[in-house]
Amino acid sequence: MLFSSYLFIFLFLPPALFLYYCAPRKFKNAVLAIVSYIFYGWTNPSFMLLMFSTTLVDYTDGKLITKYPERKKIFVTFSILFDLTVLGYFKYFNFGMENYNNLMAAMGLPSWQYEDFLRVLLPLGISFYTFQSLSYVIDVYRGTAEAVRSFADYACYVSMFPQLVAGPIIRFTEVAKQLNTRTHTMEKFARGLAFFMLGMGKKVLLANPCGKVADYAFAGIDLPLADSWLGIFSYAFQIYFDFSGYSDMAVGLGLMLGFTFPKNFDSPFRSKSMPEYWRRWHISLSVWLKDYLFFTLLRSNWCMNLTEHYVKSGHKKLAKAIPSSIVLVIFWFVVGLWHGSSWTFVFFGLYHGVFIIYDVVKTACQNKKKKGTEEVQVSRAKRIAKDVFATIITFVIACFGFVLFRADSLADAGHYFASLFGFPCKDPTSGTVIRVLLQNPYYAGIMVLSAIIIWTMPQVWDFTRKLTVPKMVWCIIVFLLAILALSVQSYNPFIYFIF
Amino acid sequence: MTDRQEVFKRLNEIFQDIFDDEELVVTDETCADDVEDWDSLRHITLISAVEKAFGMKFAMKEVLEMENVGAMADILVERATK
Repeated sequence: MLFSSYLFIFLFLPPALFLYYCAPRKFKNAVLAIVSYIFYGWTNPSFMLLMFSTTLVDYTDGKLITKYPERKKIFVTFSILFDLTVLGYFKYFNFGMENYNNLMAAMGLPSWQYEDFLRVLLPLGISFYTFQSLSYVIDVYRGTAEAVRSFADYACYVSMFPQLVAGPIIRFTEVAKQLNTRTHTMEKFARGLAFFMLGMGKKVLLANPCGKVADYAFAGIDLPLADSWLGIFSYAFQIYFDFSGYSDMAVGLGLMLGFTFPKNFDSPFRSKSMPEYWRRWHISLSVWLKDYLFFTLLRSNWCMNLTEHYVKSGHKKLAKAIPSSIVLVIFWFVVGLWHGSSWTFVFFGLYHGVFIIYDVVKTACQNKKKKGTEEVQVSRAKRIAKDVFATIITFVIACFGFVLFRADSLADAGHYFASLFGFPCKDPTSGTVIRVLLQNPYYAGIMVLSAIIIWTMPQVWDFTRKLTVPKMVWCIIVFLLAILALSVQSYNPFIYFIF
Repeated sequence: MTDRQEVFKRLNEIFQDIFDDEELVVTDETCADDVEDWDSLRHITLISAVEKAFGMKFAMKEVLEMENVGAMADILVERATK
């Protein structure tokens, strides 16, 4: 069930909060786990069993690692294999079979005909809760976290509904203490309400209308230049407000339940470089992959041996550039694949990887800063102009990545890229996007408002830090407008639900 | 020169090499926020260089939890006295 739905807001949330706050402290985690399972199983009860099995395996392995430390490698390996096999099967089985059959067909060999009932349904949020559960067992293995004693506490951590189906990905160490010692205060609850209301506003009032415009753009073929650019900007706005809005709602729900979750978006479109962009976009995913994949690969024997090889042969710059670049290719391949079982997502990840690798190689090739070197002083106006230019370029690069994210196929993405450069030449008045914006000033207004909010307004985190009565009134107005919009909108997708 | 001073002397050389900055001087309180380009990648490169220079290996827990150069130096001094 979506957070931005009447079902959740009026039928699920109030009784869930009531039950939670009525429960004695020692049962709060168990109650939260139960209502979370109800939330998760609402669309498909069988998904609950899947999540339960992942939870049980990792909880048990955490205990075993603590009890038998000399065999901890076996237990953590089992958890990793189990979790990734489940994730891989449910998320990538169909993709794998399609590619296998395509390869067989290309080689003139028989493909595997499998019945429709074998086509795997994708459980909601499986990427999110699998990564969360994995983080626990790896942290226990590394010694950075202690094993949880109570199964109810662990089930609560994995399943808690605020972040279950769309993140943020909460690593165990971020909430370990909060599982047993979190406080429930009026300030937290009020801030949580504000987060939820503003997040709902972002989702319903901004993301949904921008999404309608984007749908026109991506439904067309060979758009005129201006339409294709407006289309990709509208999609960028949609995905940002959609995902960050949902994250805000998740953070808000967490606060209402006494949890403080970390920030997941930090005004990414204000970034001045692609490395900075990825420190600000979907932060929880980047941090997770950094700690559990990136560091592991960099400290692996093959990587350190390769570095040593270049150092010994006198190629210090290659030692800095090559091993880390190889690791980054793997890293960004995984980023792309995590987002979805499609080549467009893989290329989305690799596309972003190119910019990060470029930054690494550039830094590796820099010469030493010598003693006595003075920094060149730049005027304030020049610095501002440089920052504005860098922000625009970074946003445009991100938008190009969104083409891959949104397109149904690489061929479609190719068509869209071509239209962004004006190919094939089309009559500028023939496109649908500009026509829709001119005929519907509401959509045009929302696009302008979105841009203003993205580049000039404070973040929800800062706006809600010190809540005043006027601010709360503003949040309530936004929420009521969103509720009203829901009643007239038939369009209420949520992009990251499919991950 | 105390063990700790010797450790810092060697750490300074490593930091200057890793960050390509001959003027860089680290103290107990120096952390990633204080040094330009000290990101995740540089952190691991730095850790590897320190391990090689001191002939030891940090546990992953130590790599992830050290908050500043002082914490790194504490581990190095402790390992040297064992």
